[in-house]
Formats: sequence, structure tokens, C-alpha cells
Amino acid sequence: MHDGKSIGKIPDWLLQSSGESSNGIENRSRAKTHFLRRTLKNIAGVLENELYCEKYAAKDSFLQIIDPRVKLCIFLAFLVFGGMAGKLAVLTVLAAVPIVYAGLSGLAVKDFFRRIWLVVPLAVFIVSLPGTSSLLIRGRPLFYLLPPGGLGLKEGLYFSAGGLGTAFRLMLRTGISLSFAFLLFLTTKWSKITAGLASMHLPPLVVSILNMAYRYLFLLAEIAQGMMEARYLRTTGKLKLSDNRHFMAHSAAYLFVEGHFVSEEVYEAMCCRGYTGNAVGLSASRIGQKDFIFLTMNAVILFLLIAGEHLK
Amino acid sequence: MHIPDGYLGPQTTIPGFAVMVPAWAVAFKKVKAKLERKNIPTLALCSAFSFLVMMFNVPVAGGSSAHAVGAVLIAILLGPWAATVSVSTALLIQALIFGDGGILSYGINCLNMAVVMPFTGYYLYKLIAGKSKIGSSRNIAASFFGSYFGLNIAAFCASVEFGIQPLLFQDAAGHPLYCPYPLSVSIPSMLFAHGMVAGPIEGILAAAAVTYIARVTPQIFSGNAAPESAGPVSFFQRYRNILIPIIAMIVLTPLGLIASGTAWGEWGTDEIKDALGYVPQGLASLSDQWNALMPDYSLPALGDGTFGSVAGYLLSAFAGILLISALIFLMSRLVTKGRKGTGRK
Repeated sequence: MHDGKSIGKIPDWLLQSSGESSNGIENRSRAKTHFLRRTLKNIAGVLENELYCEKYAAKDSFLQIIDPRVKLCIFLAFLVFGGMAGKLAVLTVLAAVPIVYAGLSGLAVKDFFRRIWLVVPLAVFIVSLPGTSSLLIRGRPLFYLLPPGGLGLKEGLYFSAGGLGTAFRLMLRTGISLSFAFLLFLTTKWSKITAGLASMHLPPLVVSILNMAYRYLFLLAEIAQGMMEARYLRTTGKLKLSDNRHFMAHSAAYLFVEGHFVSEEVYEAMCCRGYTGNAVGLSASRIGQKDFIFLTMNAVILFLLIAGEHLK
Repeated sequence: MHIPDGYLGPQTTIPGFAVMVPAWAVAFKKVKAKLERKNIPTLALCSAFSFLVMMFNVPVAGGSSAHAVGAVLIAILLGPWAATVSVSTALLIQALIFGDGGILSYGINCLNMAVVMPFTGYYLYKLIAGKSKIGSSRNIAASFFGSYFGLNIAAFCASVEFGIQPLLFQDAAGHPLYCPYPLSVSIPSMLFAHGMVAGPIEGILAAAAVTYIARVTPQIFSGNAAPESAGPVSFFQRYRNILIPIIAMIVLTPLGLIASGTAWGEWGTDEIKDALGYVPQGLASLSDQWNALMPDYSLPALGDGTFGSVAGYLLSAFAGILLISALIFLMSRLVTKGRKGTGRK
């Protein structure tokens, strides 16, 4: 009946059919608001992660009932050992330990595996591949990517067993570290982790800052999310790169200003409730029999792993 | 720049903690004294801010985006020690909860991003900004360069930490146990990525944020910025930025004594005779036309010894700078006098 030109002031996109119109805007905005969508995704990830962790940390399963101090010590010991171990077999066994614990603690093992091993360790493995190829690590070729003489490379491009071993070692160490960190967080509430750190003689000031930073992280995240969503929904047409940069910088500055004012309000609220400079925690946990059993069993596992590392 | 576990050996990561423990102790002490009892909520909010700023993706050319660290921005706003505390806290939460950066490499990550970056960036910012007004062009440029170089210096430190791994840790067969990339690869790749993409983003974010805060809430800068009306300033304070380099140059002039031979084209008649076997006639006649007050930067009254030579060099430099400064001063008076006169009319 009508075309966009005949109507004059009404833009063309408004006159298109709903499906076509929304796709068109989506496609155009994708090219211009990439940074906004990535920022929104990052912030949503923070909020989603918190919900995900809360869901599992509140359970009453195996690792959830272990004292956070014991878990911290044991996991740190595994981490340090993982950092020093060199044998691939030992590292593989160590990598399996958190997966078993995850299963026994009621976590979704498949999801746990996907969240940990298919992101950072995989990226580490891929990034380390050029460095572990024959470009930097030579040895008996296991398989060739380029035959000798290809692309002017006299010896070709190949992977040796030693080179691939280095790449796998890097990936396993990264994954092991992530696994234990996630396992601790997924089975322990943040307040209990910081209470555990406090009982391990971390200064009360540091513990208070950690607790409050974690709490207000979500408040600031929501403010930031609001700003990004508002901008994303209002963005039409072509915007200059410099304008977008300024928007992001001004958003960061606004967030700082907002945080600064919130901190003053928080301080006043704390004073109203009788804050005198020392924060007092309510949770007081005691190490019980189950913790001793957990400690002993893990000490045995660690001993076996150390023995495996030193076997000829 | 968040180094995950596995890339660095414990022999590198443990010293990272050894360096950071006293740094954290000093940072908390300094910050506690500065912010008094308000310290906990302020630092907690700054930590949360630091965490979130690392999630802000800033657009770069080509439709892609990169995130900033914001350590220098926090240092500009609250001071470098507060930045150390805030960024360390943010990095701990990131490492524990989001797996961004390792647990064992936490100390090294803090060293790079919570100490090296805010301190180098902040002092570079102070050096460039001088006593300029917050939000002025010079101050904004200082924010940009402070952030840009702060990030790049931190990236350089990280690249060195990566690059020394294959030199230090190898198995019996000579294969690297940790990061396989040597210094020749790690330094250029890190500096290229940070110098071309992440550095400008960091600089732009800091400069634009400082501009915004200076306009909206300039009181936040209190304690870190120079007061706008500082009262009467001494001659040295006023011209400090010019005088310090000049004094440094005067002090360094006796270095000329270390150099052997003569600068090219500055030969005396004796040296030309040694080199060519004769002195051109025109040159010989001209050389007698002018006898310097202080031949060869020395005063006969001070003697020919080392003391005499050094004192002669210093006196020559001082006299030369005084003479040139007087000429420039005279010239500027003559130029500005005419301009002012026109303006009044």
C-alpha cells in the first residue's frame, strides 16, 4: 500500500514487517554495539555465577559440610603440588580428584567439567601449541604439520613427544588450579571462606574489605548493567567509535562516583549500627571428626601422588 | 595480563608472594592512616569498582573490543597505595570465583597489576601533570600517558616473567616445564598487543574518566591533587620544571672530560695539523681573530688539575646558560611588550 519514501518522516525500518524489521536492527546493532553486548555478557556472567554458586553452596552434601579452613589447606596443598609435579600421569590423576569430589558433593559433573576444562585450560593449550612445536622444542618427530622443506622450513613443522607433553602439562596445571578454586567456591559460601581466612590470621581489615567488596560488587554490577542496557536499547543509527569510547569511560567514571557516594552512606549506616572500627562475624565453626577424616584421607592421596611423581 | 597457574614455576610465584606480603602490609597501613575509619567501605567499593572496570569492554577499531584494568585511574583518584589494595582484592575475587588469573600466580599478578602498574603510572602522571589543574588539557594528557605506560610497563614485567621460564626450568631432556616462550618471543608479543590495543584503551578510559569526574565531582580528587590557589610561590617552585633539567645538565657537563678526542668538526688548529700535516692558510688567519674568555672550558686561575677542569666545565656551563637565558628573557620582554601594547589599545 505505502512505501517508506511516500510517508516521508517515518523511518523505513518502522514500516517493515515485524520479523524483517527486528532482524535488520539486530544485524545492524550487532556491528555497532559489540562492546555493549560483551560488557553486558560479562556482568550477567558475574550475577549468574553468584546464583549458580549459591545454589550448590547451600546444599548439605559431602564437601559442603567440611570446615572451610580444612578445605582451604587441603586444596592449597594440592595446588602447590600440581604446580611442581611434572609427570603427565600424576597430573592427570590429580585433575580427576576435583571431578570426583564434585560428583560426591552433588554438583553437576558435566557442567563442572564444561565450565572448567573447555574454557581457560583449552585456551592455554591452544596458545601454547606454537611454542611447543618444532619452532621452539625439537626432538623426535611424532607427527608433521608441514613436511620437511615445506614453506621454506628445512626440518618442516612437527610436534615431538616432549613438545606435546609441555603443552598438556600447561593445560593440566591450569585446569587443576581452576578446578580446586571452583570446587572451594561452589561448596562454601563466601562468608565462610572469609571466616576461614580470618581464623587463619588474615588481618580483620582485609577480611572486612573482602566481605564488603564481594557484597557491593553485585550492587555496582546492577548499576553498570542498567547503564549498559539503557544505552543498548537506545542505540540506533551509526555512532562514532570515539563516542562509544567516551560512553564507556564516562560509565566507568560514573560508577566510581556512585561507588564513592555509596561508600559514605554505607559508612554512616555502619556507624548508626554501632560500628567502632572492628567487624564481628557471627559464624564460629569448629573442626570436628569429619574434618579430621577428610584431612587424613587427603593427606594419604597427596602422599600417593608424591610417591607417583618420584617413581622411576 | 592475568597469568593463570601453570605458566610460571613455583620458584617464580612464591617470590611473588614474598614481595607482595610487605607491599600489602605497607599499603594497608598507609591507606588506613589516610582514610581513617571510613577505609573499609571506601576500599571495598573501590575493589568492587576495580573488578567491574575490568569487565567494561571498550570498542577498538575493526568492530572488536578490549577491556581495561583501571589501576592507574584508581591511583589518580585515590592514590597508588589505595590502588594496590583495591586491585589486589579485585584480583583475589577474580581468581577464586571466576578463575581469572591463578591462585599460585596471585602474588605475581598483584605485583604486575596492583603495584607496578599503579605506581609507575601514577608517578608518570604526576611528573607530566605537575601542578596543573585537574581536568586541564595537561592533566588529561598526563592521565592518558600515565595509564598507557603503566599498563605497558606491567605488561613488560609479565613478559619477562614468562620469558625467563624456559631458561630456568627444563626437564632432563631440555623441554620447558612451564611457559615455553623465551624472552625473544614473550616481550615483543606482549608489548605489541598492549602497546597497540590495550594501552591506548587504558589511556583513553583513564583520560575520559578523569575529565568526567573533574567536571561532575571534582571534590573526589581532594588529597591527590594540588590545590588550585596555593598562595605565593617561590621563584624555584614557579620555574621548577625548567630549572631542574638545567641544573641536571650543568651538573652533568663535566662528563665531557671522560670523552677522549674532539667532537667532529670542532678541531683546533693543532689537531688539524696533526691530522692533515698542515693548517690551511685561511683557517690559520681566522683562528687568531678570536680568543675565548675561557679557552677549552677552563680558567687559568683554577689550574690544570682535575678540580680545575671540573670547576671550569661547571663555570662554563653556568655562564653559558646565564648568558643565553638573559638573551631569551630580553627577547621575550621585547616581543610581549609589543603584543601587550596592542592588546590594550
